[in-house]
Amino acid sequence: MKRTFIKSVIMASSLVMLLAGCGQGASSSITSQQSNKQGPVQIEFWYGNSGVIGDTIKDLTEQFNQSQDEVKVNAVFQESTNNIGKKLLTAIVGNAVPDVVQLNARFWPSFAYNKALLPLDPYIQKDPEFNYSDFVDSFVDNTLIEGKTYTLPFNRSTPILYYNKDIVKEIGLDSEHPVSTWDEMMTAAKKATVIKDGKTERFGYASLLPPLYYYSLMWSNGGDILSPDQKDVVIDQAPAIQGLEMYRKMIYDDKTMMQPLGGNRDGDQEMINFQNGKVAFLLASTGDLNQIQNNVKFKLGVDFVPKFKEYAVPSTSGGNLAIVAKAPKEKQDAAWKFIKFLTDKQQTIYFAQHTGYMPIRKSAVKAPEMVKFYKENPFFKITVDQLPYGKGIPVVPNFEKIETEIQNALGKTYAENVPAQESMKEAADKIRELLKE
Amino acid sequence: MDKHLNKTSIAKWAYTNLTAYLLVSPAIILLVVFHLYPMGMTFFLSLTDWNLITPDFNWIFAGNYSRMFTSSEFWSVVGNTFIFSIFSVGFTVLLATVLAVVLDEKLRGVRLFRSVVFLPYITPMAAIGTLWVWMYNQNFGLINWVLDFFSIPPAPWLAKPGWAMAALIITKVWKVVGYYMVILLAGKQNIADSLYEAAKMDGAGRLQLFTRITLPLLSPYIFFVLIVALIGSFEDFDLLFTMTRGGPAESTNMIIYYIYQHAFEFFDIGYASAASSVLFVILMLITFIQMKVSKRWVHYQ
Repeated sequence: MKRTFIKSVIMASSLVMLLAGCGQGASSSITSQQSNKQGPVQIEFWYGNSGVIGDTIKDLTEQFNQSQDEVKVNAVFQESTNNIGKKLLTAIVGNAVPDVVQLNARFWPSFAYNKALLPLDPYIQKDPEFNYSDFVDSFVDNTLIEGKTYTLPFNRSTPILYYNKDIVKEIGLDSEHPVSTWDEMMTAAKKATVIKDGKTERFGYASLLPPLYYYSLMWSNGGDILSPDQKDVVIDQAPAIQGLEMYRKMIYDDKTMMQPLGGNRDGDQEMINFQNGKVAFLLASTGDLNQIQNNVKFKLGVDFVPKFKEYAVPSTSGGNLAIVAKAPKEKQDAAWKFIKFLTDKQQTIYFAQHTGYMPIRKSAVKAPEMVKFYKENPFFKITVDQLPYGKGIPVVPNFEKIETEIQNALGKTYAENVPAQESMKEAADKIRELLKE
Repeated sequence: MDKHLNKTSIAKWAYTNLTAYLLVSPAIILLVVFHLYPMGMTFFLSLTDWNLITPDFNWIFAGNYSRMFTSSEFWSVVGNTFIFSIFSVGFTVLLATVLAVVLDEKLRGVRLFRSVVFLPYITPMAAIGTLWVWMYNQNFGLINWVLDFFSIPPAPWLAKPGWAMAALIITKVWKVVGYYMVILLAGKQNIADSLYEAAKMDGAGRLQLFTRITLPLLSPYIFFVLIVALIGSFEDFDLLFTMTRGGPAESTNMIIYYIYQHAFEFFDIGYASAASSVLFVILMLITFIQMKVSKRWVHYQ
């Protein structure tokens, strides 16, 4: 009895190994067959945007496939930009990698630090057609680690200030340019808030929860996340916390700001309440422009994010393109041709006009088609005008953890009325530990 | 017997046994590939600092565990998990028992009520989460509007730490109570009517019928429900993911979400594996304790 049991266990396990072995053998023989075959090199491209943006990406891929016959790209949709990081991780472990991926600022540095992404410098240097200096500078910041290029900017966005023109008129402000500083915003928010029987019926101001939307306040006041040498944390210093302290006052003392909430999809609550006229001013991404524009029943206004001393906005939200280091050389070369195409002037213009993301090349910003487009769509122009004030988040290992600590500190002040100094101090101490690792 | 074994009987014995193993082998293979092997791997990874991407890793043995046990965050996450589990399971079992007893009565429209109570269970958690986030909205949500109607001041659901936990518990109970109610209802219907009739003849009141007959005979079912609900409450990921993402200020972060964060947001696979192993041990212990304690109060017919 016992012996047969052991035997069958061995049988079962060898069967498992056999199956596993078969799988591996089969897949490797397919790949070698493919590379031996004549015809275009097939590469796989992972992207994570749905809706209009996703359609535009598919569109551009199709245009690339038809423009030449050396490379054929298969664009594979991966549910969301945040999901791609997770899927790429599993793909690398399972040795079944795509060749090109769209990765956002949350993920690409982790992969680059672990040598999972191919440095692009050799291609950039060898390719005379590729005019690297044409990329908008503030976008290039978030593609480099220690001077090496691991990604190319692709779909990039920044926060902008949305406002309800009807309410702005009602409170007697200039409907084209209601506020330019945070002080003015605080005053405007007071005027725009409607409280009846102790219940807020309309908020003056709302912002999304992710720290990205807070960095702007920090930077515009001369504060920062890390010190310039990236060895110390400065988020708990006076210039960095003034904005958060202002938010705290607006939420708890003035009751003019809606408390930012996390959960389901960050910002859904704030965004939909804005669309329903229950919020006068909203800080959200340009990437939301299409959705907000299509859903509001009032006259929409868009303006620069207000400032303390100097305008400053993060230029890192959105995604970059990267080539996977584990992909075979031949496919990497093909992938380079593809990402060169996607980030070229003409495609940048096409993408920007169809989605609302920013053109990533200087020549595209100045191109006559774009100038004409901005005349017809002034909202899209605000984003571009804001570009010179763009600033990248620090590229350091562990940034995801650092950002989580910052988000917790923000959450604490928003949810529990903890003074900004106290919550940021706590986060800074934890981040200091992380930087030592 | 053994002495009388001959060749044909050995062949016959081997034939029947091998056939049996062959027949269960799909199940064994699945168990090994999808349960035992990953379990072993998780424990193995928990002793390393591997992030899955780099080609090599370091053995740090108990390093992840000591880092975890000395982290105040981990303990608050464990605390949150226990608070959530105890309250959500407690209310679920209580409510499911009451519902099972009430909905076993021959009332008008009882079938409809049963379906209504069961409905949330078959709705995906993500949909429920999205919906309840809106109902809980502090300023413009349905729940505070209803409270306001009865002149109860609005509550900061999802916006303040304690309230957010309460909000999660309410949603969870609402979602699963129907399922456990069905199990308990089946249990209730298995109790022979003759017992009640005999007790009534002896002059037992409604309360006595319930405490002396219904509860003891329902106890095996309640016990099953307790274990399943408790384990389920520890593994509740989608609720957290859609409703709070552990916020506000980490007040609703629980072990399962903590593991996800470390594994797939921080790529700290070793640490996440260590946390998974701890979760496994906690669940084992709870089940074991329940098995032991249950002997005192569970009555099998």
